[in-house]
Amino acid sequence: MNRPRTFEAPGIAPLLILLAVAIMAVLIVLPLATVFIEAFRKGLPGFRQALVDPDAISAMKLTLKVAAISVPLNAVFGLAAAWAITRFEFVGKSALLALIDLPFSISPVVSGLVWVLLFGAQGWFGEWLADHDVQIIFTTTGLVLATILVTLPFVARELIPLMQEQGADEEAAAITLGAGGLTTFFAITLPNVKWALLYGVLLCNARAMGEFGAVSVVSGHIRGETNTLPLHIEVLYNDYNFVGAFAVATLLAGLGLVTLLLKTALEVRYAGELSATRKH
Amino acid sequence: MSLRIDNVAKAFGRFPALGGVSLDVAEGEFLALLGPSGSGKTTLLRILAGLEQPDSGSVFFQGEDFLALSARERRVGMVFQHYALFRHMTVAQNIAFGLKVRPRRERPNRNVIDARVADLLRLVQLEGLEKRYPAQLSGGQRQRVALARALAIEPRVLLLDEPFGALDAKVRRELRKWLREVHDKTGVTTIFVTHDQEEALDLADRVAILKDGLLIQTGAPQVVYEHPATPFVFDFLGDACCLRGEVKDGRIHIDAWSGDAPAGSPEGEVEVWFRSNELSLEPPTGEGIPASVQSVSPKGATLHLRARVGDQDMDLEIPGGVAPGWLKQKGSLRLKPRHVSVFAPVAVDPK
Repeated sequence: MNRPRTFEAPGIAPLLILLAVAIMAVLIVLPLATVFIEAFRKGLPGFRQALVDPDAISAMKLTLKVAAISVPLNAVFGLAAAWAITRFEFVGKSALLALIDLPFSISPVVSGLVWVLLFGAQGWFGEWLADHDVQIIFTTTGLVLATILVTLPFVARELIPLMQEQGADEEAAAITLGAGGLTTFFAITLPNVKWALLYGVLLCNARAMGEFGAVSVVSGHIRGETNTLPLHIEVLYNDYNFVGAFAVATLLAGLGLVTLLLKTALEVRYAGELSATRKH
Repeated sequence: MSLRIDNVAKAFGRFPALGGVSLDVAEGEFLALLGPSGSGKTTLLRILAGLEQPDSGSVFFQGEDFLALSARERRVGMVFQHYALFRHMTVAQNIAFGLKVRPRRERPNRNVIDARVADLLRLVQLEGLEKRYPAQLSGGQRQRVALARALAIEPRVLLLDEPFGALDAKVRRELRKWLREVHDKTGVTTIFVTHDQEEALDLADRVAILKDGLLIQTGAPQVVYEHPATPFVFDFLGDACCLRGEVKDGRIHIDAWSGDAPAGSPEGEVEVWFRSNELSLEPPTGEGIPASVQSVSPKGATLHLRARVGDQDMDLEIPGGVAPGWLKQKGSLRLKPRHVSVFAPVAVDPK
């Protein structure tokens, strides 16, 4: 094998690899292991008890509900935004692009706070909403709004580079062949981006279920009602119920691992059909 | 007239892509839209396909207002430069697409569609590849699938946008010949866009030359080649050289050479255009424009000759590839054009 000649002190490569592994172990493997070890500190019964606690079950249900509402909405929004941005020329396109990225660059706490400022009791529309007996803050609606805002970019960011790369020729060809708008969308546009869409949805879902900052602001922390899993973990932890906190945390960690697995599987299997930035 | 394009104009923002183009295309004609990039030829094609709307002007097809029809109603076959095959469908599914998306009432039944796909595969010589995906085909095969897909809907007009632009030279020449055969077999009115003058002259019944969104000249390839309307057309059709000269009493004078001016040439100071492949190399004692050899080198089937006339260097490509024995590096010779075009000189911008 012909290796390019570079400066190479003997033993430096193994040393670097060892260092990388050590850092990985301390920063990633150790904390993850701690979660599972702490969760089982009182054995399986303790673990089980933390998970069947009514508040924990309610938090699980709420987390699933919030994700089930916000992820599909963001998938639709992401598709629509990517389609508009990659298929049309319009004034304010770069502004829209920047706006889509905004949730990535502002603190999630701010993403939550804006809803309080808009719909909270002292907010702009607070009085009007109270008059009409509508409550948004401290309800599932508020959690969904905060989650949507935080996870807004995931799907769009995944689709835009891919759809830009693919161009509009296939859609144009379908239309000249006599296909209508809906047929073109379902027969051409969607199949061409389906794996990238799934990839974006996966990332979006992981973030939606794990989001803490934004939902913490709008939730009000009502046990059994507006606590999602991450918030429930915080409550348990603050109650010095460490086993409970870590047991519930294993659920989120498990979700993260499953997402990672699926994501890697998608990357390996469909590298060509994911956007250029994800190719290996 | 089958297709009548009248005064069609289109601008993208402040960039005028087409500045009022009028063109008639006959039934069954094979027309080339030829021009450099940015000349508006693709825009015109996309307007005909219904993928762009012109700002003004009209397009009628057999008396029917084409612009009032949407792209899907026009039944126009479009072939794209980068094939635009549906990547997740097989060759057969690609070809059948146009038939399968028809409304239920007009949709042929499965057997008819299958038979039609088989016919088209035979026409484009891709039998046996119907189960392949576009990614498993070569560029030339993909473009043939694209053509079969466009022909499947029995288009009233076939539009091709630089169909061979992404292919290598050899495949391009093969496909060119084959496209002409397909046209002659199907007889469908065909308009194709190209920036390759050789392709246009070789393939088309008629060539329409565009520049900066305007139609400069239309005509049969031979006519356009031999009687270009402007220096631009002459230059664009290839191997062009230009020398300053003078026309007096119907005779062209360049340095010590003089020859008959073509009918209708302007008098006085002129630009004399000729093609290097229509040039005879004569010995210094012979007849022609005196020139000195700067360099000479045979390159395959052509002889590359850099010659200086007056104070102007010209790069000439002489067919044949063999230099005459008397031709010496740094020597002198005479150049005798067998065919010239004469234009009034372009006014020199004082700036």
